[in-house]
Amino acid sequence: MSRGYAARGGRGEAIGPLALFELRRGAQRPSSLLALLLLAGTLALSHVDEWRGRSAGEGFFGHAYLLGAIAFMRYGLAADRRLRFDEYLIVNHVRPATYLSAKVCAMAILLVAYGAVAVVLEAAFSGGGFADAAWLALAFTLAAWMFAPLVMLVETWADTSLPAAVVLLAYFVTVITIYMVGGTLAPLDVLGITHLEPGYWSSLGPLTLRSLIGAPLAFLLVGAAARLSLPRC
Amino acid sequence: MSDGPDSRAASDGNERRPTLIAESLEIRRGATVIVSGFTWTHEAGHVAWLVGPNGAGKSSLMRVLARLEPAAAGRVTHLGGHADSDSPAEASRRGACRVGYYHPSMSLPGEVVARSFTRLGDRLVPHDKPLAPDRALGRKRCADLSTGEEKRLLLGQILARARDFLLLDEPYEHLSGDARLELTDALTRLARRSAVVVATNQEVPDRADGPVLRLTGTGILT
Repeated sequence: MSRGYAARGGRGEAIGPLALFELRRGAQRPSSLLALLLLAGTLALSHVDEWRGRSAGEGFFGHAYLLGAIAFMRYGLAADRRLRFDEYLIVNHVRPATYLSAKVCAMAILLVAYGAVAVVLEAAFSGGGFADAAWLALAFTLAAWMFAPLVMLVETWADTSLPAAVVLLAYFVTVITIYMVGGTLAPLDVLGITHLEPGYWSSLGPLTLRSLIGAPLAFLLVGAAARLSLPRC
Repeated sequence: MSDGPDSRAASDGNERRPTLIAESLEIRRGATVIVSGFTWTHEAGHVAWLVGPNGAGKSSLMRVLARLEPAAAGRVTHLGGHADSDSPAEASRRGACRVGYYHPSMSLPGEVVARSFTRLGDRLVPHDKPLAPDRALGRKRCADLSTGEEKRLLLGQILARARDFLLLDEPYEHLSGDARLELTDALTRLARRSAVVVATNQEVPDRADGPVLRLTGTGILT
């Protein structure tokens, strides 16, 4: 028997308000401010190095982006479980699918916003290289979106406030292990990042394709797993 | 809705008063049997009170009555109300939600400002607000609310929606005297159209009426 109906207008209408709530919640977390500080601080430091004549290259953008992303990428599933806020919402107001969809929507918007801030900061610190900054930010945003379902999976089963760190660590361990054992960089090929050439927009094609098709499919699988850990309704 | 009284009511097509039916319930906590052979029917009209000391099994029984957890034996049926006469989509359009459940350990995310939560409630919950949210809370973060203010916000959003079954576990906990009176009046009104069950380890409020079940830890006295 169906219970726990969505808002008055049905499921579709409930996703919007809940996603907006999750968006505000994500933006108001202290870790989001920390993410911006880490991004800005690391980028600034990398360009100070450049100004002194030691070229840092775009590698530091990656470090800065990842540091910030580790701090802010989380859905709040573990916190909701601790607070029984998931039970409150799912039993009383929305369906589990609506609850999870709203979190995914909020994460997508937060990633885009974070990428936009990264473009502005990188362009400002590098003295106006807007196109290069946009290319870098887009590449890392697409890669982060590829990892977003895994972050949800980690939060589903573990009470951690840094699920993105767990995912990145697991990914790097996997890449290094496979490379040492098999001498192949297949895990990088899977993501489509071996074809990347900084500044060449067409080189983003494989990553974009994987991100736009692979991530939604992964969300469907992870969502089904996440629903198992949510309260029954 | 495939068997039992639910499907019979649905096929009648007539909306009847929400009725909660427990049949031969057995509830265990680990190896200990905390409720055994509990058979009970409660129909909308009055608030039913489940009273007992800590550890008597009130919360476990409430979760089973809300059908959030299965009983070790026996069954719970939610009969009548909106969902028997409407499809879920239609009930949803009418602002109906079948079950409302509250437990005092439910909390709000501390980083959110209270206004964000009340706005979410305004969008999810139509019409009346039996426990009106205090707009003065405004930009306070939920982490800065008193426990009573927080619980009142949570309860208010649950009570604001049309429900067939309302199961509230210790809703009076942390509420001030005025808020308790307000809650009792709201529950009395809501019980006219919903099957309302309230669990409490305190005494039943003076202004309340309706059946009282006492859990002793070794059985239930009606």
